[in-house]
Amino acid sequence: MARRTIGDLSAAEIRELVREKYSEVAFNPGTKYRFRVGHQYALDLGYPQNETKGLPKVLMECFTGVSSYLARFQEFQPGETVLELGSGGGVDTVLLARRVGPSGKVIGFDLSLAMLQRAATGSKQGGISQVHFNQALAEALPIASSSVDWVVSNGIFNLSPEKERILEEIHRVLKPGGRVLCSEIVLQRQPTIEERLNEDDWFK
Amino acid sequence: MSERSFLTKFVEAGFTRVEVLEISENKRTRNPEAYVVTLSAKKAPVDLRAPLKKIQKQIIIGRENAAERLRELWIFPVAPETCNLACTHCLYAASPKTRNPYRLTEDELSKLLAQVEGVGAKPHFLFTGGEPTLHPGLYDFLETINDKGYSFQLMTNGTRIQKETSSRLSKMSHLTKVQISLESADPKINDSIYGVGLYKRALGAVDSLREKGVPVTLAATPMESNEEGLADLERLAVEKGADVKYISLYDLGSAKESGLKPSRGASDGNNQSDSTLMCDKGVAYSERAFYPCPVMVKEPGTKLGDTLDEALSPESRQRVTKLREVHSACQVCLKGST
Repeated sequence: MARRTIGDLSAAEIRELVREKYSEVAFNPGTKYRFRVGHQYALDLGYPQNETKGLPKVLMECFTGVSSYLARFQEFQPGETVLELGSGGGVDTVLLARRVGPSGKVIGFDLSLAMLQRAATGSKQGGISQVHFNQALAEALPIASSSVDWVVSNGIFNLSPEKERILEEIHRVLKPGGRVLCSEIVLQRQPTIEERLNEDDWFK
Repeated sequence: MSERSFLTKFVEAGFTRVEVLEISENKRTRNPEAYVVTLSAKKAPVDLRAPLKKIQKQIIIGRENAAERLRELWIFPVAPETCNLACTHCLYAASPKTRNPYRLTEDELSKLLAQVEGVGAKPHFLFTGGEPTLHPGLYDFLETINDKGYSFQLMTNGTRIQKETSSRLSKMSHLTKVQISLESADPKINDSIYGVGLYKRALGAVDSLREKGVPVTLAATPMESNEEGLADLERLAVEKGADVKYISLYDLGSAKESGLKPSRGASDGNNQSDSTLMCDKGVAYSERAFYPCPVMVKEPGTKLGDTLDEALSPESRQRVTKLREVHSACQVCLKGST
């Protein structure tokens, strides 16, 4: 049988591939992947040392974001509710929780239970209680409409074949006037059809 | 994903104030072309989008629209790679050695016709392949289509057209033409592309069909190898009372493998008086699924769906539009249509 390409997979099958891949990272963060993972990578991206040095190792070693922007962004206010899509190892989640303070709330959603467990363990170790982790699809968010002040993500759109649905959902759950903040790996040009269909390229 | 399409998605989802906050280096992977963009966008304090969206939806999936979208329906009675010949320029790399057991069934065809009626369309049917005459039930299918009053045509290499089949075809009043592939009026050139003795067999089919008064079109693909003799082919067609149609060479299948080049003069695409793209006129049905056009049926990631409704949906339209931006075969058609 010919090798199946991404184009032949359903959205659910693609999600399952992504979930598996990230659970693998959560269980074995030290292994070599086609993408960088971990503490040194976060520092190279520009995460401020004073912010990250106190964080539990269980969080830092699974960092897989694409930008340090969230850690440097100054506009979150105490008391606000932030929804993080693809919370992964939980580094950004905990840093955001510090910003919104004990009166605020950060909700972290991820596909991978292994990642969620890590993030929950790490935030507990870090003494942060205003975080809530849950397994959920970005394409069908299990929270009420107009209920959050911010939606943030750090490198999730490339992994979903249903980007439009994610955006519809973000729009739905944001309060009127609420803002979304997303970092993503992009190209100047449209990717070629071969790049789109090759699973290896697609984790780049 | 390009930066532009990433930003556009936010605008399309109804966000306001979509702005790039930062461009930074991609340190996650080793793709030197990729970079990281951080953007912010705002949900407008008052949602103006809901009423507009509702209207758009009503317009897009109107019934007339679906019918208009289906003016042509390409049918593969056998799989695209199923053929008794192995032509050098075949875009599906078809040959007698391929072993795809797929054959269109009667049940499948009646379901297909029910779907066509369901969307209220009355398309022209184009039976192609692979070699469609390898299907033992082909002529019964054609009679079904004819009895339902749909116009249709048959694309074949002619090797299996004989007196009896010509006579059967001549009784189908809605058959608009039989298209027979012939690359040159010079038997040597034609047979170098199709195989030894094939020129004679194709002409035998032309004669037998013309004798019964069936309209015939000779189809040739202008390439470096046959461009010299195309004027003679047109003369031969006149002599036989047939038309000539030029088909574009697509860099797929066998043509790709052997690096065939189109004729230098072949810039006029599919030589159609109507320059509308195939993917704007209808869809192709192959091995139980729908595709944007007959060229794409073996290309990965081009399937539009398992039902005609899915294939004609606004989502499928969007996919076809995107595909045209990226697929090399689409560039061949686009070149021909402009």
